[in-house]
Amino acid sequence: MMHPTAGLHQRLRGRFRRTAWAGLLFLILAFVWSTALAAGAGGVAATAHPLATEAANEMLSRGGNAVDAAVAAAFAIGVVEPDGSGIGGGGGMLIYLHDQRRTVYINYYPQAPQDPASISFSASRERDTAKSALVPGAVAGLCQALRDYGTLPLPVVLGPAIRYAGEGFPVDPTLAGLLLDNMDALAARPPLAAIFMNNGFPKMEGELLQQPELAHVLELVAAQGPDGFYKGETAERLVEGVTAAGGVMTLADLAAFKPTLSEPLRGTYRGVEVVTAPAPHSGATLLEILNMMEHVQFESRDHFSSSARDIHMMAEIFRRTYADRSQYLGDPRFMTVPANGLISKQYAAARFAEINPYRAEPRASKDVPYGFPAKFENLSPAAAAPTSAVRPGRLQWDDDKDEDPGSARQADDPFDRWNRRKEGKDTSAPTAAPGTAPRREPGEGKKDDDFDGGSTTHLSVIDADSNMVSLTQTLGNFFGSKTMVNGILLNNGRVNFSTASPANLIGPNKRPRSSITPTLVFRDGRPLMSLGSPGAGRIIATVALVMVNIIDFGMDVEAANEAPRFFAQKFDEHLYIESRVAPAIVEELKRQGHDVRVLGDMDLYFGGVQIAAFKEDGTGFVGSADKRRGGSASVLDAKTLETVPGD
Amino acid sequence: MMKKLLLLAIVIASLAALSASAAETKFQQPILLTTAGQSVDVKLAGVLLDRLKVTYTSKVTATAADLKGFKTLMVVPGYSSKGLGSAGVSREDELARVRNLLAAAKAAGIPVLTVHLGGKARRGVQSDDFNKLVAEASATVIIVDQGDEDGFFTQACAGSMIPLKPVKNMAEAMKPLEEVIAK
Repeated sequence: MMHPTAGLHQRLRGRFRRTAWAGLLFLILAFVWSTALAAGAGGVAATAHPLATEAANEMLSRGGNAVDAAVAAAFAIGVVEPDGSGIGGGGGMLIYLHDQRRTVYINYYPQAPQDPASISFSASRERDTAKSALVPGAVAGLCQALRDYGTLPLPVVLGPAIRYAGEGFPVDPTLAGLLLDNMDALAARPPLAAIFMNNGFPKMEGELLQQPELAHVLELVAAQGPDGFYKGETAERLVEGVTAAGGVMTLADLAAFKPTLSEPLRGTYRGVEVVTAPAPHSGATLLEILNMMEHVQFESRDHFSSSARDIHMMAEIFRRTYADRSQYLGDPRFMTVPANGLISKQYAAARFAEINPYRAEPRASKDVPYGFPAKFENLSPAAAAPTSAVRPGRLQWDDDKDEDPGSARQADDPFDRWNRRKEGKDTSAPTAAPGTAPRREPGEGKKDDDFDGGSTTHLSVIDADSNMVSLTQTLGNFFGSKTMVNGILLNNGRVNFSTASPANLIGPNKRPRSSITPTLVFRDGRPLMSLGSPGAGRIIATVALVMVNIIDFGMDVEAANEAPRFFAQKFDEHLYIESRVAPAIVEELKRQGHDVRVLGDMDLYFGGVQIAAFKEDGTGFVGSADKRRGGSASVLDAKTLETVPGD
Repeated sequence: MMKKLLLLAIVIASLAALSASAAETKFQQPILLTTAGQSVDVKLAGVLLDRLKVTYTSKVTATAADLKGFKTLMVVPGYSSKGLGSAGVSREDELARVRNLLAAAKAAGIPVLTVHLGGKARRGVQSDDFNKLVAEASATVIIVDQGDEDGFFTQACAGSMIPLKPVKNMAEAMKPLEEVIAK
């Protein structure tokens, strides 16, 4: 006979099983939702930190669009990834508005003050000082984007950033590693040590990091808009702090900062349309790379990393395009950039024809010549056959004699092309009189420009209405100038100006050349993907490699993001490569004349690509955050959007 | 049966004695402090030694020749590409230097004290070659416990019964250091 409570027990067991299964299902769904590869049907955000991704999702859940989400994530990432960006820096934002079929680019990169020559500056010795700080543009740029293209109120969009700064957040593994690596610099500066260190030791993974002063400034911005940063209390304290530390920044400089709106650059790669950042940012170089890549017949079927020849060909492309970048990219408000020539298919064909498919030539990267895109400037796509793109017999920046009539480098320049001090040259005084050409300051730019830092951050967002944002922002190097005023970590953008490249000399109110390359991809007129990367000079090459992975090798976004990377350029004699590339390939590259340096298997050096994309079958979205950088991608599906209440 | 029990008791007693003697290793001053992997963590170890007023010399590129006059070799393992770049050496060069240094210390009878401070940030493929190499050559290992969450150091030390002293954070490493370093 059955025990009287047996039925109850069975029912309870059944209920328990159902609850357990429901719990398990919830956990699986939560895991799928939060994992680096995410797929769904309502919106997608990929950033370098889960909390920034959460900020983007919060805005999408409130009914905001991609711009709302991107701006919220941009402010938030500046708090939770304080080494890479923040309101003391700036960046660039590429926005696609689907209903208007329109794309705009906002350049809010830090800008030189009105009188940059009022102080001497050595990029090699003073990059970690207030002298290297330019006028920050992040608040102006992000607020303008929100005002012109967003839908939610600024206080709502700033909410997550204020919360993270005030209440704190646990240090993540990437930040923990950076705090360790930069311990000396942090320990030497009490305002930084107070935030990033604990009892004289850098904070470790999991420890709480709070930034109350920064939270206060963000609250002022939420209440007053950009004026909360560029005027009043915040501006006065910034000027006072920067000036007291030997830098140059005035209230007029802050008030004068205006983001620049411009048309993005457009090109194609094997049939897809690529829309990217115009000068002084590096979309032109990305397009030049991709145009040259179209001439590469890949030897490998699965991935270029399994063929030394494929890597060699791409490395040779990088060396040439980076030479052109150095020669021609600068702030277009102050110079003519031959952008049409640089991104023309004919120019690329001519440059590609210079490459020896069997060995690195010239052997030394510093001897790689820049091209001459001006003659291709006004060619239509169907124009005549390519001719030589290189000035015959001309090599750039000869140490001993500079015969280039367009060069600003003078015989009495105290620095050589690598910015090494020449014997007997005084480096302490400016070289030109005020009011003439922009004064070039000794030591400006360590080698060429922004190749040493690995900092910066990128985020990509797509919303349910197919609007897309690709946003890259930076402080310059990790922790910028290592100067904190009023809780604001200031950029060291001044080191991005150069003495080695006339196109990128510092001048009043000028913005430096930057490697940032936020990019959008379209296929047959339909939006396909938003992507970009941090990683200083590697950014451009890394974005190109990921695109090749997707377009040429048919990889999904996650596989494309994980695949091995390499990097070569004009201003470095090494070809850097991840250790997952087979030793036999490395040896073959050495035989071809490349000076190879093998780095980690998934090395932060090669950036941290964030991708938001539409699935190929059009059924929803997919996102990928680079595992090299501890990022997070998540898809917010339509059901989630319906169930989360609005503001 | 009695013989077997007696044998077992002797084995256990011997192991316990060995373990106790290893745990009681006192590291004499002066100490030569170096890194294995060129991470900046070696400076944090220097901060700890300064606070303990220990006599030491820090040399990040120490070789066998530098051991002369020192009674302890203290090694802080952890890979840093930035550090290797600053020192101008490759990872392979650094591994060779550390290997030679440890061998020279062993030959000279100088005990090795390993202090792993970087937690998870100094784990992973690049760091673990250094971590294993140094831990296995040590008389004592002090570690911030999040660096041993997966038992990597526990396993590395278990084979030779090397005392492993976990601490919660970097600052807490002072205590075991104070215990093992002779005044």
